[in-house]
Amino acid sequence: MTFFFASLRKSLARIAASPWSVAIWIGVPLLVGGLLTGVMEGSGGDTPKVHLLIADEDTSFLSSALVDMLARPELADLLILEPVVTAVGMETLDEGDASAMLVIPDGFQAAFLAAEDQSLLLVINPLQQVLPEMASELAWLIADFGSYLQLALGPELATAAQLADRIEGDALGPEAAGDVGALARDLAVKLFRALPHLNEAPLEIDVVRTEGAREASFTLLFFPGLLMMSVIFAAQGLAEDLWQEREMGTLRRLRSTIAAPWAFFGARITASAITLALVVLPLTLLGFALLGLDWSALPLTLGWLVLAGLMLSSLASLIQILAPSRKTGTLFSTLVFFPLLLVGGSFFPFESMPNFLAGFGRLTPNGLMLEPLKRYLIGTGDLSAFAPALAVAIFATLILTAVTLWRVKSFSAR
Amino acid sequence: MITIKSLRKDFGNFTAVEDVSFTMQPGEVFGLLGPNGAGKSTTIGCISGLIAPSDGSVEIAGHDVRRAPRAAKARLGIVPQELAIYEDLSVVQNLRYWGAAYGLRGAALSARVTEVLDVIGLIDRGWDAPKDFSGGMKRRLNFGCGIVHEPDVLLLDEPTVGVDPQSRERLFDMVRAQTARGASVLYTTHHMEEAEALCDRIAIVDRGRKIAEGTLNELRAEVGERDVITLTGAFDLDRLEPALNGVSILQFDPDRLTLETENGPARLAGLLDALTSAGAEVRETVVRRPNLESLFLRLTGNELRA
Repeated sequence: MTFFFASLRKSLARIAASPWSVAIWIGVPLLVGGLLTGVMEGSGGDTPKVHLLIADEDTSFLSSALVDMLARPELADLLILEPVVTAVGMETLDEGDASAMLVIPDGFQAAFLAAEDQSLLLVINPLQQVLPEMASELAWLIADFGSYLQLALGPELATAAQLADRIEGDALGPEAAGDVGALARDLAVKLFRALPHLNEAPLEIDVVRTEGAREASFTLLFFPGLLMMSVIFAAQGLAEDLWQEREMGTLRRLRSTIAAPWAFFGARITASAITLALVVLPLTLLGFALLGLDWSALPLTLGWLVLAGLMLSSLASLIQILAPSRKTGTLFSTLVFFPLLLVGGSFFPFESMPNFLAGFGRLTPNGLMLEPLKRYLIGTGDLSAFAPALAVAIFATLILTAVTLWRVKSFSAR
Repeated sequence: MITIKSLRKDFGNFTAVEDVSFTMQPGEVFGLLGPNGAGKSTTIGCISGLIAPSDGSVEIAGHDVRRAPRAAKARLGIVPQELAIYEDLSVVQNLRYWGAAYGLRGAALSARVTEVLDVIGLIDRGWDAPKDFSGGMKRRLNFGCGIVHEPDVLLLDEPTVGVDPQSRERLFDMVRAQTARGASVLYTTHHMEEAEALCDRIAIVDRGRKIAEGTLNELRAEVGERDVITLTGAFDLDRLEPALNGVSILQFDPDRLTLETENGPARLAGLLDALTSAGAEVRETVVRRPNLESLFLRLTGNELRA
């Protein structure tokens, strides 16, 4: 055990002697995380809105009603409406300053009341992906609603439109009283006929959130992947010490002593675990504080990340030890770990990936370790979800370390 | 202290060491002298257990290296040809680490580290990292790491490579200090002067085989009193031989001729006249008294060169 502790002190002292490496393992994920979160959520973190231009070429009672409907406060979280003339709206779209423009063509009301085919024109901004799609969906909803409205209340709408045309100032003349009365009576009759059916078959949507689940912002979904990114960088860096030891001749010299190889590797793994914990600790504390996560999850999070780091470090060590040169080892390691970073949920959350890619990513070593941790932090998973990944991680770490230990003799002799 | 019997090491079809045997006594510096590629480092590797011999046996203080490697290694210290230290750790950290690798601990380890710091002359630089040290200082630390556990047998594999003369003398003193306390030292080198200055007994090796062994005086006696004359220029062997008149040719190249003769300085002038008359063009002449290099040249037909 004497040599184990001497080797542990040696490994930790050597890591401490290169603080820039540790700073990079922490700093790069922080930088990448900050940039990606900024890009995906904006600096203020506000929900993006559809900037919809409205070109009302009809300026009729029904076209105004349609605009008023879109301007309701309930849609204010979704839409920013801007009335425009069609030509100006096109210029605005060309400059990429709006999501879409809804054009209500001249003759809209007349065609609508006559139950003739009618088209609303939606011009979308091709530079945006999601927001124009939302505008399109909204336009189809309006079209469907308008069609049913025409079927149900077509005559009444026609009467209302005629009355609206007769408005002078803010009021109707006394001669319109009979028409208003008839309109009110017809509407009341239809409503009273429909009311029992509406009461008998109420259609409701209940929105519920999974018990314990948090609102999963992009930052929260990305946070565990960010931690895993730091773990991967550290694991790769820690594995490179084997080539350093070989090039310094210390690995070969060690073989001429009576020190047991297991003590050297045991100390190396222990030093890696301590280093990994110290590397992920500041990021984890920062994330927990900023995202308001439950502090009781901190020990589990740290322990899990350290275990993931040990597994990934043992994989990186094996890659290094099998490589014919240090340069090749670094190249092989990058070739393996960079794709793992990309598809394993560290650069992009699984939730933002196509299903087939997310499914594959969850099977990668880092993805396997990331998924239960993320679910746990978000609140959609429990401790039992860790069990399969825990078994795989322990088994893989032991096997990979055993193979590395087996290969180290020929590695140091080369 | 060390007994090596019929040591052989093959790397595929290439035989690096063939039928090498020798013994070393306590307090003795045993030199392994030979050019690069002669098999010296392979022999060291077999003794230290880093390379498995193809045949033969190595015993250190009665422990067979293959059958009882731990007991054998515990008595052995090695100072490799290339530096094998942690340049980013302090001198003390290095010594403590290598001491622990040989099982030292606690107060005994601390005491030995202090002693070794004194021996290698780095007691004032103990907490400095060797990355900023001179080559000689790094070599001394490399040496210190090999003796921190007070080994009975010390293997030094070309320890003066890249070392300035002053540091080399200091290293020699450190080696002598080890033999003074009773350790056996195996010293490999391709520098004849080092072997002559330091070694009690010397084995000359070439192409994996031991070609001579003895004390310095015994080996010198093998050479005799014949001087070696090396001539540089242009030579035609067929025309030269009649002109040599009893002088032996040790080595011939069209542009380099090595001869052996008694009383070389006295015979040089007549020899040069005879060679010039025979059509030789001599540009440079070197006359050497008999030494290990002469012996190596006589035994192998090659110079003991780097």
